[in-house]
This record gives sequence, structure tokens and C-alpha cells, in this order.
Amino acid sequence: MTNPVLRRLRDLPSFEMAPDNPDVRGWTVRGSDGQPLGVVDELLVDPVGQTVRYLNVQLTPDLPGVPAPGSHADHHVLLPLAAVHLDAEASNVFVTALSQQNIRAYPLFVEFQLVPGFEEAMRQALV
Amino acid sequence: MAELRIQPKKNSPSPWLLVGLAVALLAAAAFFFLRPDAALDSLNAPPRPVPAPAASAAADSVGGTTTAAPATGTRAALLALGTDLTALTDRADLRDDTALREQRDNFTSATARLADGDPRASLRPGLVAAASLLLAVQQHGYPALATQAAELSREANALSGRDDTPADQTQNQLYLSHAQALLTALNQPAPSTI
Repeated sequence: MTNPVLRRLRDLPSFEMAPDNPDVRGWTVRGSDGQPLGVVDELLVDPVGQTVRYLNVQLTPDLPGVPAPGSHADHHVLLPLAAVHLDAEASNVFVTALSQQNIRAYPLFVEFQLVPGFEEAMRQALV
Repeated sequence: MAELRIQPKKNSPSPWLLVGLAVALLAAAAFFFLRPDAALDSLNAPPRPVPAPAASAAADSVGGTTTAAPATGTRAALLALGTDLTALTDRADLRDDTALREQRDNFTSATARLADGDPRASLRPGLVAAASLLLAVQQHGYPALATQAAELSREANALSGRDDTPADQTQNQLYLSHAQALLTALNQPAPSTI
């Protein structure tokens, strides 16, 4: 079974969110302690399966233990949609496996393409 | 565990196309309703084909007499003759005559479209009905005018009912002059009542 080709939703102008499926871009991502970890910046989607696979999250600056990004750069992480819960009323995304204390152990997403082993690294960090 | 789904966008008309259509509709509406002469056109359209008022005015200037009149004068003259015929049949010795009343109703019906200003109404029914009404009055008590009344009826039946050509107009005016003459005679009291 081959991995699906993931695309950013903004690169697929012929696609849109399905009815009753919120567009979570811009929503705040909060950890298990309720503290903000970042903001959903983009959605990585599977155009064939017509599902959102990952949330590309721009991390909040100055998170403890996370090294400061270089100039003109931001820290991003990918969150598998299976690992989050959506709070549509308050526009929050909760990821209970992460918090401001352990986010530093989560792999940063620095390239657009998913390199081999990156998904496995994410899974390990979310256990 | 969340799940979000995406879908291909549905084809929808370009918003600019809708905007263009709306602008075109507004422009069309503005053209028809806001141009200065639009209201006048819509108001004047129905009466335009009816030249009767002007024609009647022209005919009234000759007072319904049998003198030469413009083409539309026959119509006005016939209606004026109808007024005189109504006055005649309202006379005390004539108003209760059943035959006269029937002929009077026939004349009213025959000239109804003319009175309404219908430009397509034929003159002939009114001209014939006027002769029949005068004949009925004559038969009521004017035996001396029998020949004149019968001749008028024959003359009416020979009319074309049109008033377009000079020949038609001459024939109509001649008939009207004869009808007016007979009407004048019938306006005198009947010999039996003298």
C-alpha cells in the first residue's frame, strides 16, 4: 500500500471543506493543560481520499525548551488529525498528548515533504 | 479523534457573471422607466389610433349639416343626426310607438361603435338604421312622405359604408342631406294631429 500524496489545501483551489466540516485554519491549538501551543496554519489533505490528514501548526514563540527559530522562520509541527479533538464552539484544537512541557520532544516540521520516518517519529511522540 | 473531509468545489456561476446580469437588468429597467418620454408614450399609446375627437371637432364646426365635410365628417354628421332622431322619437306622439322604439334601438346599436370612436366601425349599419327609423316615423303618420322615406331607405342600402374616397364621401353627404330634409319634414306635426 503506497502512501497517499499529501497536498496543502491552499494548493488545491478546486477543493473545499465538505459541508459541516469546519475549516480549522486559524484555530488555536491547546495542549493537555489547556495552554496554547500554536495556531493551525495549514491543512495537509489527501485529495484522493478527500480527507484532512494533518494539521500544520505554527508554534507559539518562546515555548519552553523549544529553541528559537532563525530569523524570518517559524517553528511548525504536524499534528495527525487522529490525535486531536475539535472544539468548534470556541475554535480550539486540543491535543491531549502534548503540552508546553513536552512539546520540545515533538519533531519539528521543517520541510514540506514528509521525509521517511517522520510519521513514525510523530507517532512515537504522541504515545 | 477528529475527522475532517474535503470535497471538490461545485461549479457555480461566476459572481461577476451574476453582477453583470444584475447590471444589465437594472440598465434595461432604467431605460424603459426613466427616459423622459417613456411615461408619455405609455399614456398616449391607446388613444393614438383613435382620431375621433379631432374629427368630431372638425365635423362639429359644420354643425352636423349636410354641406361638404371632410372624410371623417360623415361619421360626426351621422352621430349628430342620431341626436336629432332621438329628439324626434322622444316626441309625445311618437315615444310610445313600439315599432319606433325598436327602430330607435336598432339605430343606437348600429352607431354604438361610432359613438365609442372605433375607427374600424362601418358607417353603413348606422346609415341604414337611420333610414329605417325615419321610415318608421313616416309610417306612423306622414303618408305624404312615403316616397321620400322609401327613396331614402333605397339610397341607404346602396351606400358602401366607407368614407375613404371622394365618391364615397359625396354619396354619403348626399344621403345625409336627404335624411336631414326628411327629418326636418318629420319634425312638423303629423297631419292627423293638426
